[in-house]
Amino acid sequence: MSLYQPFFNGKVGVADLTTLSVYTLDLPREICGEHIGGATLNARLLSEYESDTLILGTGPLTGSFAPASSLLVGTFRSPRWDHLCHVPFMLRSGPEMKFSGLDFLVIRGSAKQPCAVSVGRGRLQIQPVPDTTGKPVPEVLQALKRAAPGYRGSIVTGPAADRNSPHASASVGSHGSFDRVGFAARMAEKNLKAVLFNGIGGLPFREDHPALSKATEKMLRDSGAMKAIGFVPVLKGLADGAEAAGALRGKLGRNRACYHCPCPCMTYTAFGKTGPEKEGLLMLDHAGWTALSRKSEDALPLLKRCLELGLDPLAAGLVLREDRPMKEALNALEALVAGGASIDEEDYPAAPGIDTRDYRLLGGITPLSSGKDWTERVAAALILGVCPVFMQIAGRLDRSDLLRFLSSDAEEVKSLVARLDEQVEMLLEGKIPESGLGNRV
Amino acid sequence: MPETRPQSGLTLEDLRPREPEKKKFSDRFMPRRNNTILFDPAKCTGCGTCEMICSTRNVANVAPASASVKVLSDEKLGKNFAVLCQHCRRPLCLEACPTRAIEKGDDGIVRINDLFCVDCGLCTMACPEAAPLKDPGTGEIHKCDLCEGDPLCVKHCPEGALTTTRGNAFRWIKAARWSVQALSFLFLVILVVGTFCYFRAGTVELACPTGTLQNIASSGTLILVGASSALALLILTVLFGRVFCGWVCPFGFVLDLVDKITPKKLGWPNFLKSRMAKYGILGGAVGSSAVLGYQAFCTVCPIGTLCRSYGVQSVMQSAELAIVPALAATEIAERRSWCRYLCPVGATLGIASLLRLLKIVIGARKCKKFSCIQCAEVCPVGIINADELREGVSPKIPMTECIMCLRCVDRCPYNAAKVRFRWQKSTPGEANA
Repeated sequence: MSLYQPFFNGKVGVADLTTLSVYTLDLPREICGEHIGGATLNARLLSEYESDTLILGTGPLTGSFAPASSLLVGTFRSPRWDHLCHVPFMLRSGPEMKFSGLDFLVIRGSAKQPCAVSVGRGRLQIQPVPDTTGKPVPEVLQALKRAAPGYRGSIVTGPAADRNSPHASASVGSHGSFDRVGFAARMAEKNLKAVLFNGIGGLPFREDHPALSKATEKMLRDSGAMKAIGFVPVLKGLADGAEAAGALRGKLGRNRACYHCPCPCMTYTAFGKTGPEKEGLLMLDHAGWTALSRKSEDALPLLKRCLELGLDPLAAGLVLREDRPMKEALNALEALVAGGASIDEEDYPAAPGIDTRDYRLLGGITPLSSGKDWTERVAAALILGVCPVFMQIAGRLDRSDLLRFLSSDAEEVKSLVARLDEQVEMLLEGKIPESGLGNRV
Repeated sequence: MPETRPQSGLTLEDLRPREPEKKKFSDRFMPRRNNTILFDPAKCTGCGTCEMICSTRNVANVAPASASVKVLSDEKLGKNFAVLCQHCRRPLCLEACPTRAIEKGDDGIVRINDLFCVDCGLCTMACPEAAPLKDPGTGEIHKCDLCEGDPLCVKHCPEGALTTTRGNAFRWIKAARWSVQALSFLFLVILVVGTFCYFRAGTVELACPTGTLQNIASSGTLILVGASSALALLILTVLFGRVFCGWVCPFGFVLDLVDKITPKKLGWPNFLKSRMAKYGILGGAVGSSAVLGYQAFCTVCPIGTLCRSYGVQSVMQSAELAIVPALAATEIAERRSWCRYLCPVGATLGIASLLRLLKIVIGARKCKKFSCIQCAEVCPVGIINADELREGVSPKIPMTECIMCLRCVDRCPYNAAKVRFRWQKSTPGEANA
């Protein structure tokens, strides 16, 4: 068994924004075998570089036929709490990064002008993206299309990050993300406006993956996990979710799944005028919507504005006062972007039944379970490269079911389970495995 | 891992031109039903599993960009759409290929012969769906070959948004229609002696509405019994559309028989192609009846002359005998030319069908449009616009012209053509009626 190939390209890209230089390194086999991948390998890489470095990484299952293999993990020292944090990016971010030829991306230093790092065909590029500062996310995306045509995936920041708002949130395309712990703020510190992926390559993975995928899907279907799919059923699993779900009655459209996910947890919603001016949003942040819908009967325009500003909807939901007129509420969001409003540190981000430190460490993903179950499932997902929301929805799916995608040998799967347990433990400690510069991979 | 496309090892067999498609005798009655993939956008979640599994077959890697299927998402409106080859009955890619690398097999599958393909990409431009996909990495053209009849994308789609179909096995409407037409002919022409224009069966009296109109015009009086007899056919038309024309009319049956004998059409001059002409003829018939004092058109009406002159017991009238073959000869030019442009009886029923309860819709969701257009091909009165289908638009069917033969409903392999009440929505998101 090798965790190295066919699950990884074996390449780490390094972009130094200070010197505007890029290079790629080989991913050492032993590090790959030891840390498995994803968040723990990110943390290992982070130990080799400066403390303000951003690492984006994939797990061994990212892009494969394992269910919901869509994950890209961002690892960094949070500027808000000065400790290690991992932020999950879903939709197609992980596979796009892996199929672009790199497994991990290290972004060091800071640029003098707004720039974007693009990855494609195993090559890195840093390109200036002038005239994007302070612009809403959709406009930034338009500008990026002109500057770097043909990209297939992106992580961008909006005006909230540009204005150093502590509640800025990086966005996957224009859909937002689960970044509540300052990934966008760190990007803004580096003058990094976007990371773009062009995943036009591929990996062979293993021959039995399609059959394993079908078997896993059948197991999920039999367990009933594939019945309650879509944004609302998942929302109802949250503490105040039922009320928040009611606010969406009659406005929901089709479900949307991340890459190879059999249990879609996102749904499009339509609002605004009918006809050509009809607008829609992809609802993906369950906790964010719950918080916003508590403050206004018609929270969709607020969510839309949050996504445009690159602002965390959960933070916005905590700051806004209840039942304000829409204009006032939108002004309050602008104030939050400008850094004029603050949230009590004790209140944000947190989830009932989950240790606050763990919740922040693992990026503040939707808490569909609680306590140790949430922590361990999310941590395992962040290491393997599988969506942590899916890991909670698919309650009957355990680690060994996923590790079968790495090895068909039962004994090896057992040893992998033990190693994964070790890595989960290490991840939850929140320590950077080995510190010190000069020991770079 | 699924079977991969052979990357090498081409033999002389690959160079040998394929034998032309052999037509079976049964193809004349029941055209071959080839396998094809149906995509249901309402079920698609955009997970991209189809791209993954397809790429494993194309390039032996999980590489969604190298797949023969592509999932597009409208991120604002939340609509997903899978771009994949429809294996058109008359593929435009095949005609566009300069090296003749694209061929359509006996099994209906349109394939690219890798040996001849020079990756010029003209097929992607010619295809209305842009289904041959250019690999952004290698520049190769990938196109769905239905995995030789057992598509992997269909097997692996977790939501069941992709399915395969061969269409309907038995076209029962066609069989039923021929039977009803034959029985009507037998009844109206052979058994009931005399005329279609007016007859009594027990207490039931039936009359041709066009004849009744002429009768009123010529006599200058409204005979209530005659008018109420004519109402029967008009009520039938309001309830079911112009079913008389499609299912009962004995002259229509004759025209359909002539069509079977003369499948190749000479064409009808464009200046004569006016569907409004039959309304003019109707007006002329009523007007001339009023002037002449007798039912002017009835003397040359092919339905009437057929009933009067061709029955076993009827009196052969020399001049009338020539009318039926003379007008049936118009079938050589275009199918049901008489019904399309000239028949005043059809015009009367067309006016009555303005109050119809039923309509025919070609559903946007299921219809495969440019790749199929079978409904347009079988429509005897040519009211389904093939050009609209080629443009990917669900055609609007003018129900005053529709003879309710239901050939489109019968023929559609994807159950996209349906009979609906006129107040029903055609298809979600589409207003085509």
